[in-house]
Amino acid sequence: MDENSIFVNSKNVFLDTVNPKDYVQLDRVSTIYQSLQASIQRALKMILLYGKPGTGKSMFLTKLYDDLHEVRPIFLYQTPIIDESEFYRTLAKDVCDVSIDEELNFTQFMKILEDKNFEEVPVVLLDEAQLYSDALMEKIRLLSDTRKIKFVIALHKTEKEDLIAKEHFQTRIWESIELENSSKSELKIYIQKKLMKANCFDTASMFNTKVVNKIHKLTQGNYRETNKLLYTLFALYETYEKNQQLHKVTVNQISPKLIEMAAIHTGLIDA
Amino acid sequence: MLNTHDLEKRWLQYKIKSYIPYLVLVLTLIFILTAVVFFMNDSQEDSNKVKNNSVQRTEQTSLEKQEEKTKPVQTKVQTAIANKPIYQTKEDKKEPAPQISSTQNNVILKPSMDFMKKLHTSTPDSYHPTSIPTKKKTEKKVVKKRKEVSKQKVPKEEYIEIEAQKPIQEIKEKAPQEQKVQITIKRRESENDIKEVIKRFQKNNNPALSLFAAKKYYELGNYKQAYNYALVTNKINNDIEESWLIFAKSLVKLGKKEQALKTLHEYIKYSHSSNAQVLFDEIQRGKFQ
Repeated sequence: MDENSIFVNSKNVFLDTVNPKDYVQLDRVSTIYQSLQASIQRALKMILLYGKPGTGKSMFLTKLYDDLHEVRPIFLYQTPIIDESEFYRTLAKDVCDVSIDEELNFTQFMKILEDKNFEEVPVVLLDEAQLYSDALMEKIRLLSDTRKIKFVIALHKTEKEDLIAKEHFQTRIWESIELENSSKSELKIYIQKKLMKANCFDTASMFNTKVVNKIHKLTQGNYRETNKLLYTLFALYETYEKNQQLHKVTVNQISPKLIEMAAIHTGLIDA
Repeated sequence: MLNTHDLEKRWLQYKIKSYIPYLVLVLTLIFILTAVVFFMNDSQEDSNKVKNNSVQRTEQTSLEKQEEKTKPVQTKVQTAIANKPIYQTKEDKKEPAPQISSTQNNVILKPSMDFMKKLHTSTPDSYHPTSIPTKKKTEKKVVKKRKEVSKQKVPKEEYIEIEAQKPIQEIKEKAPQEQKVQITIKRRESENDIKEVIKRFQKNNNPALSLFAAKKYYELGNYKQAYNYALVTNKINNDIEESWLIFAKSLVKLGKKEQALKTLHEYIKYSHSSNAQVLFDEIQRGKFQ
């Protein structure tokens, strides 16, 4: 029963995973993605990709990696490598094909990098770059100055610390791309496309403009929050279905009551 | 599996919470509206009260006017019995509502004066052409005339005597303006009465009628006509004491005091009338002028 339930299938669509197959092509996002691809082709030292959590930075990097890893040398690091020596050793192994078991410092790695001649400049994608220390970030800047390696850095835009204003980014970043929350219309397309990709046409048709507006009001168009909310929403539908209480809620469109219940459960509404 | 029961409870609490501001707003609006409506009603009631008061006042004034129009005979009879001067009664009436009397003055004075003028000019002379008395005189004499009419309608000996004792000057001074409407109405009646009486007298030469005319003219201040009708009455019947008294009084008023004394002296000799003697003494002493 569970496997055939449209609500279970729809629930699984909104599992919070970073899978390039789940990437939803939206007009604005598509434009940004194309400009990012173009930036990589150009002789830029560093590219900054920033935005609030849940705006799709990780998905962007994943998609970029997925699209380019067969055509050019590209390396994605979703989890930050906090240890400096390990960071250099990882880069030496992946980018330069040099395996070093011992400690590797910045000077040693620079020498390895200078000795290496790349046919095409390798691209290193660093997600969650706000977790790197300032010292390491400074060294990443110096590495990019060699033009032997290109960095795409994704980080959170925090209010406390405007990273773009930092000196080492101000002087050296040639391109910065900001990712934002979706608009109402984008959110509707996002939800419906996501569901239709998983062949959940019935549930996709349950999202009319009014329902999406309500969801947008709760999540501010944030993709991660939306995924969380909709996952809980379909989990609720699933529960009602299991308890044979579907008559309590509307099924021709998403029940506002269930949206609010899901928001209470996920903490979007403080009840 | 989610605990839908718990979530539903929380959702209900959340809905109640979310409706509280709207509920407060609605209640506040209702309260404000109620207060406004109450305030409006209150102010309307106040204005209505003021209107009602004014209406009541005007009603009162009109009622008082009517009362005064209809009452004078009764009032005067009562006052006459109580031996009180008329002006006292009128002043007593005035005291409780001084504003009303002022409005009466404004409203009543002018039309009554015009009306009196017309009436006076339209009064026909029956026997002798007489000079038209002045406006002031007419106004002052009208008071007495009306009393005479009332005397006829309600003949009371006591009243007549007391009226005779009252000095004319006092009545002239104390008669308020508001009385003029009443006076006008009475006067019109007396004018009609005189006309009718004279017509009847011309037909049947009844001395009672000529005596009535003499009295009326005396009251109106038309002493010449009073003299004439008293003379006519005496010619028809020389035993009517009242006629001789009017005759003598009219002579005094016309400035013929000696002739009046002479006539009274002759009449006293003939009739031994005590009233004639009293009048004779008064004229002689200069009390009656």
